[in-house]
Amino acid sequence: MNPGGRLDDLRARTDQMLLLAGLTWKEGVRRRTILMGFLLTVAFVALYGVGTYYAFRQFDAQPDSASMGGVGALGMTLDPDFYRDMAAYQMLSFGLFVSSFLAAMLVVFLGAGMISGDAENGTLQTIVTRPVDRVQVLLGRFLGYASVLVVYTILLSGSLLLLTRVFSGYAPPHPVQALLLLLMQGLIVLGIVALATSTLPQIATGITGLMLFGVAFIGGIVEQIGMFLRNDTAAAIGDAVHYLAPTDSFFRMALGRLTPGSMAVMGEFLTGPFGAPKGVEVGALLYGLLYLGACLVGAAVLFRRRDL
Amino acid sequence: MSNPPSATATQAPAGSAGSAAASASAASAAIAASAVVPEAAAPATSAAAIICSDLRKNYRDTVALAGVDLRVERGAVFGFLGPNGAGKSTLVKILTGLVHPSGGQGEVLGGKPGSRAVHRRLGYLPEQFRFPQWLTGRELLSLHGRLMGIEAEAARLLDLVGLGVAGDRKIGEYSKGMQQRLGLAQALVGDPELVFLDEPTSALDPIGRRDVRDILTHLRDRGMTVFLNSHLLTEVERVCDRLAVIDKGSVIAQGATEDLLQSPGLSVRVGELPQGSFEDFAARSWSEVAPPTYADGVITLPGVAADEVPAVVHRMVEAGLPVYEVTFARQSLEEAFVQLIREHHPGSDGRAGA
Repeated sequence: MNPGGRLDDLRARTDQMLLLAGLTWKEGVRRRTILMGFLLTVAFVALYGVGTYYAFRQFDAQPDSASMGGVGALGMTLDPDFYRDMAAYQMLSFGLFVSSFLAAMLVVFLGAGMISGDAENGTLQTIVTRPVDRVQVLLGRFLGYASVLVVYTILLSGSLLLLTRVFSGYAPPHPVQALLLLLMQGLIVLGIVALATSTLPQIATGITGLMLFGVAFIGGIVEQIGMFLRNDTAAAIGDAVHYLAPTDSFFRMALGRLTPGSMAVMGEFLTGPFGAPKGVEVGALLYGLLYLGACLVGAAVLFRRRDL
Repeated sequence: MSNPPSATATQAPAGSAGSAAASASAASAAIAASAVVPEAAAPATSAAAIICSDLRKNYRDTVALAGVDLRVERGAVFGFLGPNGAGKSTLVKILTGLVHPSGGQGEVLGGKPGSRAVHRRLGYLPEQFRFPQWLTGRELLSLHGRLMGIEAEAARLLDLVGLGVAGDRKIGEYSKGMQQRLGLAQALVGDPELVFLDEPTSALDPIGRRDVRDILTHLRDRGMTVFLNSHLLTEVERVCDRLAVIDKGSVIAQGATEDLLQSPGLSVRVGELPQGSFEDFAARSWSEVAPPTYADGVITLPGVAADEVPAVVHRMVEAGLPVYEVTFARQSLEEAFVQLIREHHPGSDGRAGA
């Protein structure tokens, strides 16, 4: 009716959403999932730190071709600084691949029950019969898991960036942008999960989330091979898969933000098992945002229609 | 403001094109009158707590509700009975907005089922429910209070359902019965005008059931409307003012509880009848009820009220009937229910509702 009333209403609705989002954290604390997740993450980061520390201590001790392993044996001469940056980047890309995979798993496992699991076991029925819209319930729960993802990504991937910086001395050009892109990757996984959970059973949702993440990863590899071998068909398939699920695309853009400038000369030959870096493309960014938005709108429509 | 002037004023333009001032006031009066009408009409449509007309629900090729017509007045404890799978829960889920009907209309507290405005005045205990096991009972009630935009009276509600001492324990440590008590308390958060209770006593022991019955009576005394789904007939019989029986998605009977419980009256086992004694007895003033019948040594007297039994027995003895055993049987709801369902089944295709 009046603007004040509408504002109050908006505030009330926001409060309800935040209340539901906060439940995610309360549950995590009470069920000790946050504690376990934190301890195992610390273990992972510590292992990564130890590995990086020893690798670069060795490197510092003998900064000559002997320490360059296979590259040195081939008789190639490389600038030690360049070699050092490349090694650091490789460590980092490996670590970030694992951490982004863990983040995706976390999101899939937590989020798969967001709607369908709670609808199946009868938790949701007493919530949605309160004066809340189903959209609020969906967004509240999405925000809860998204906030877990933000904290997890910043802690885990941020730690890897920091440890690499400390032990190797390598300073990636755009670490904050890389973190944002990794976050976006996780949010897209969460978006897919939200869409699936509003109509599919919990297990089917989990499988869908993981499979799409895996398909996107394989698609990225097919695209790399296609580019490497100059096979247009393979490249086109890989490209199409990025439209199906743009998660790998965001991961590779994140890597692109961390690549040493001196590596640019290697271009598309810089392929690797964990994805080749690529530059930030405005089209890909927009597509990712649209994709996430479409997932949430689709989830809201499906959830509203669903019989509980 | 006042109705009579506006009523005459609206007719004024048609009758006379008199003064401009008169028609102007007539117009403003008409506007005022039309503005008042919707508000005045609202309480009239919401006099009943629940109105269903031809409510239908199909799941693929199975019919869950085949056109249900139902009216529940405010302040009533309404019992909704039916065999498993008859459509009891489906109806409640439609009225709480959880399930979308395939056709027909439902109205709850004068509004659309599932709307926020209606949910603000509603409580619901689902048949299958699960609360977050990591919350305490008190926290759950306060969560639901906050979703309602109020401060839940957790202590009062916990006391009401007999969980006063367990309020600060985790729900995961509750027994099934305790969880059901908590579910009832949850449904009562915010002092709703209407509560839907779907099998609220299924996990309770006899003491728990009696507690719930007392709570329901207490709620009715406070003017709350209760919609009770149950297959526990004695329970419904004891607390419900009115009830409906649903079978295969159709309401096959509804009305006041006592009307649905017909008394079969008195059955009297007698010895060998002296010549003419039964005819003599039967001839005496049975004008208002069906006449007594005799078969296999038992005389049946339908429609005899409990306080008439001594007089009837006295007259039998006077007539010289050798009375051995007198049984006064009020038909229980269970018998009425079984009879209704049996009557409904032959020749029924489950679509008899509308």
